[in-house]
Amino acid sequence: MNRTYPWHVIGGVSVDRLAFRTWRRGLEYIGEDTQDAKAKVSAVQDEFPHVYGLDNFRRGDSKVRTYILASVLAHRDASADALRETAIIDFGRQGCHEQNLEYFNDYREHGRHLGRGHLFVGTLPTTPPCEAAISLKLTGPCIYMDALDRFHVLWEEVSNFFEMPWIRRVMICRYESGKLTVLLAEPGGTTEIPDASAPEDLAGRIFRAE
Amino acid sequence: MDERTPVIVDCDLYTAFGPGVEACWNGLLNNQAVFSDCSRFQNEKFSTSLAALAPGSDVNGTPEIPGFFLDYLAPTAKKMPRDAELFLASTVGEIEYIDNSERRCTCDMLLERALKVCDKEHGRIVSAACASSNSAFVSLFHHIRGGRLDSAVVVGTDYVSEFIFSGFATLRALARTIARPYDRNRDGLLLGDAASIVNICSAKKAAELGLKPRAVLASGGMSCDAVHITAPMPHGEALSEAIVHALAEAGLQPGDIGAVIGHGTGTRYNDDMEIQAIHRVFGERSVPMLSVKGACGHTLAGAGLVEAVVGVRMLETGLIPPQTSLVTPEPEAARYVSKEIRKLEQPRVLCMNSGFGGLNAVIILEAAS
Repeated sequence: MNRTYPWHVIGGVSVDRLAFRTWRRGLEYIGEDTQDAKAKVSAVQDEFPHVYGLDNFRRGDSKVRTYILASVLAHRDASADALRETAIIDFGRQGCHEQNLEYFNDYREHGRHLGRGHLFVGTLPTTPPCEAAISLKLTGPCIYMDALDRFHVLWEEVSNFFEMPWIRRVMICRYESGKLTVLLAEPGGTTEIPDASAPEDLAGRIFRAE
Repeated sequence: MDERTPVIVDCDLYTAFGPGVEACWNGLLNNQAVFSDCSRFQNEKFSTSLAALAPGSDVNGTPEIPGFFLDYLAPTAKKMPRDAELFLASTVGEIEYIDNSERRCTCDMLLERALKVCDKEHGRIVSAACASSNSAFVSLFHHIRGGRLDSAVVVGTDYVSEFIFSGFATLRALARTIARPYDRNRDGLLLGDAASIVNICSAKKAAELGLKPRAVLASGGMSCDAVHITAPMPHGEALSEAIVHALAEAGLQPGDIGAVIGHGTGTRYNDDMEIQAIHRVFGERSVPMLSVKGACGHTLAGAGLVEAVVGVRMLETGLIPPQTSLVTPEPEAARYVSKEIRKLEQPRVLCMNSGFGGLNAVIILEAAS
């Protein structure tokens, strides 16, 4: 079943580990590691005017760093400045399972009272999108949602956000098995999406790289 | 009230006060705090051993708390149709068994379990750290107003695990004595178990099902500080924005709010931030305020559900419980909190939560009549 939603996608990026590819403009960045990827993304001085706050980039793990860079690139793909009034929805199945295991093992191995706080904070599934929100100063709502792979729930939630009068843009994230997709949507127009389509399924369909 | 007005038709709670809404409500009115020594794990090396533990939840000495809680909540959930959407407010699931392939129960597994136990066809997890419950309410509010959903069951089950306890300990967020929200000498939070459920539907659906509204979910607002992953915005600007959005959505003025149930963890940063946000919105008005966390602990993702149920009872009784564990109010908070039971002067309660990531979520509940 296809449904039509009252918004449209203005930019997107797919990340397969350290390879970033934007949907509309077809930009590609391949990093040797996340720091290298950051350097390559930051080095590009194009018409894109916004300066992002990447000062705290190093404090996050590789997943957090990937979210931050993908969020920057999604805006670059859309040729859009970050808007404060941007909501974020991260839609997945895995939450932060790897990070949960990492903290779990850390506090067991180092003595139950000596786990490391920054690893604990990383156990929340909203930590990666919130770090992206901090870097881009996005002050709208930010939630993680898991609907057991009912993807129309995600697309309806985007519509839901746009019914909040103060929301002007929605950033949609999905992380699955080391692959991250980030889309930016704005209200207006229409987008028809099959119910079974995940964000990554829209690559090449909503935009074909120029 | 129009057909798409979201109404609360039922609710239930299981907290450290025991099973049932009245156990918690009476405990709050009687100014009781229910913290005890937590023996679920070795606690000697932590700064405190206290937590608010749900009585009867340790089955045969083995914590199987989410399952126990879901079984308790199931009868209330089953009062709603099978096609009512189940919203599960959660962050990490049953985390203690994460490395046990036989007993592991991650968030999505917990959702599948909840759907089965509560006899529902579909559901979703809404996770926004300690603002998860209120975020679920805000999302649901807009889905019902927008006609995308007409009935839902909102469930939250979080419990005091070693994983969570050690995490808050490493962040030095746990109180050394007792949690004293809004008190001058507060020094941190104490954790608590809670299972809670709120059944919500549109006014039209409630009439079709023959269910009497107990309260109205009048509006909601959300925001993100976008400043720091653990520390709140010092002056509460983003939280106040979420409050303003919620007021605007409902067409209300600050003077229309009868009381505020704050997040009120008892940490210095959170409570200061909240008080500043309240002052920013309410100005010189001394809106009555309380936090339930001085009584039954910080119940994490489920905190907003506990507070919503307490809010429903405030609207039904016209009473505002005292601030449990308060000794000497923080000077800036003194005009808002009280050790005494007060009368609810306006038929609306604003509930607010904030969580790691700078997440803020606010709802406004209104009397049904």
